[in-house]
Amino acid sequence: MRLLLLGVRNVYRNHTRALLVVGVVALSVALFVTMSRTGAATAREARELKARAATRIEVNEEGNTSGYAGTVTAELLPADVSRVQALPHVVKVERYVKRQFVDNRRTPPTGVLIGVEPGATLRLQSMGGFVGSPRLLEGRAFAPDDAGKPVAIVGTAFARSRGVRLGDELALPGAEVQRGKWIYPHSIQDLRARVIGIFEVRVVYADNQVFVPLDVAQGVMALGPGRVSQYIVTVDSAENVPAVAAALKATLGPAADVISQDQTAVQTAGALEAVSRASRVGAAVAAAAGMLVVLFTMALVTRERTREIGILKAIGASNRNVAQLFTAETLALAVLAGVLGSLLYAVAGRLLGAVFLGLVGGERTGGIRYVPEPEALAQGLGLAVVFGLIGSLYAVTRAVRLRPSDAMRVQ
Amino acid sequence: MAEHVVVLEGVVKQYRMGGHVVDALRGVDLTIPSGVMAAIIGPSGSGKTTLLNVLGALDQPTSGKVIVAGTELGSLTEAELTAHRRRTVGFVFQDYGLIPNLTALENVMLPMEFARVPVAEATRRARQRLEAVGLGHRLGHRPSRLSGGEQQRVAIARALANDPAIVLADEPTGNLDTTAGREIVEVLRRLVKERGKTAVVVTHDAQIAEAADVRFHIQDGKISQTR
Repeated sequence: MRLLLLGVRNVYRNHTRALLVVGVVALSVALFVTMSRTGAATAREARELKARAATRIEVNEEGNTSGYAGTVTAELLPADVSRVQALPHVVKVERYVKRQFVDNRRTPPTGVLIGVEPGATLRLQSMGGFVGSPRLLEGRAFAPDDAGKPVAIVGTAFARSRGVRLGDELALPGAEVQRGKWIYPHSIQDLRARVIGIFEVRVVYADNQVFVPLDVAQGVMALGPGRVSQYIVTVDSAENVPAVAAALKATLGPAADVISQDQTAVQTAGALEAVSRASRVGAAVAAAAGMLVVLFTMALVTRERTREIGILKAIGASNRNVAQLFTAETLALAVLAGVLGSLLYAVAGRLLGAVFLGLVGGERTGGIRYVPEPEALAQGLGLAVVFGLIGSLYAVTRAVRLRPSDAMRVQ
Repeated sequence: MAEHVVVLEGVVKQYRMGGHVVDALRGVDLTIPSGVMAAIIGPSGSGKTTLLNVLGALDQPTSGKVIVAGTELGSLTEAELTAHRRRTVGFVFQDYGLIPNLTALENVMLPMEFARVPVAEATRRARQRLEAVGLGHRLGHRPSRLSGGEQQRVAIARALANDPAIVLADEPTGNLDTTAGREIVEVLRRLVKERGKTAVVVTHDAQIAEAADVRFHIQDGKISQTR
């Protein structure tokens, strides 16, 4: 047991080198954890997106694919929803209304106001359609009794540009919505609502979106009772999607655009998969770099202490004793770096992740949260232990192979 | 204890160096009785250190028989040779060979750690050994805070840690001034006289040669007794 302690103490024999090595290896551990978390999260997000896209059909009022309603020529009527729900293989129909709003004095100037049934999925809209679901940074999601109440969940860009925080009342003038709607003849009312949640996806346009309860949005947009701009139809299995899409077209006629393959989601999933692959390669490179630093350091240490190894053997150390000393030293060095690397991840993981995502073009992966959960810290420490065990192999092998008389000839 | 603590019969040691065979020991026959201080004198490259390494089981002879404290080293396995170095011999080196980040006490405890002596017993024994060489007041000092003579006394205390039958010293006064060298000779003499140990000292130092009970001269790998 004391021998292990002596091995640990050997780490501090050269303070400068120990600090340098621990620092570099800690950075590689932090990068590894950040990138592997990014890789896992983006892969999961891509899988979920694909799975959802595979069984989902988007139905928009004709000409409105993203709230950019300049060419809207028809609306989805209240009676339509019950006809859609009655179709075979339809599991769920979620209803949305969406309208763009524009204020050129703000950054970003355009956003989307989205009405959603409390309990339904919050779906962000982009110029190309659905971009994903936001995760709340603060506050809460809609509850069933929020129906009809002036409450809102807003993105960080919206909150920042309007100076609103959780619990504040936001004001969205009807004129802004009217401007985004261009030719639609309804008169748009001002929206006043209390902010109950704030989300962030780090896509500026998506972060400038506002969710309110469906009936509140319908009132603001002066839509007829029960009229909506979008259905998201969930089908019981991917094989039945073509049949349901055909049935929807037949049922709704030219008033609706039926998009059976959520192309945007598929493209987004593809981009996420690319980020995931880049993240995993990055994690592997970070791990390999840390591993090499530990290996080279221990190779150097073993060479420097060749004569000492001879002396230890001369005064009675067995090969096992020498191996214990070097293994303990390498493990101590690596675990120290692992702890520091995990702390670095906990403190700066978000920054490291943002830098990495910026480099690989993964800004759309807003759902990743770089928080110091135990799993991530364990990952950092686990990697450090692997560094320690593999890093000690060369040192131990060389130390064990050295004959005492040969080792003692080295000055 | 064997009558002769060291017996060498026809010991040959050859090295291969750059494609050439170097004869370091050429049929050495040697006996050293127990409880004496023996000096081995000879010029550089005469085979002194090789002989010491063979006696201490740090190196194996090419041929011949080496018997130390009644054990023929040629018949031992690697693990048994390690145990021999741990229990039967103690080494003292010219450059002291202390571990720089350990205190004097910890350096002396190290061979006992390898021998799995319990910590309390090892501490007691190490303290006693250091007091015996006059370093009871320097237990917590690291080698860098000790003079050369003090470091060599720590090395002698370490050599005695596991109570070996024989102490092998390679130029123990080579790095010391005359006064410190004299003190080391005195310490070695005392451990022979008072503790009945056998000390085999390889040296150029006339003081040690003079103080030795038996003296050998080695040249070109051949040895002869001169006292």
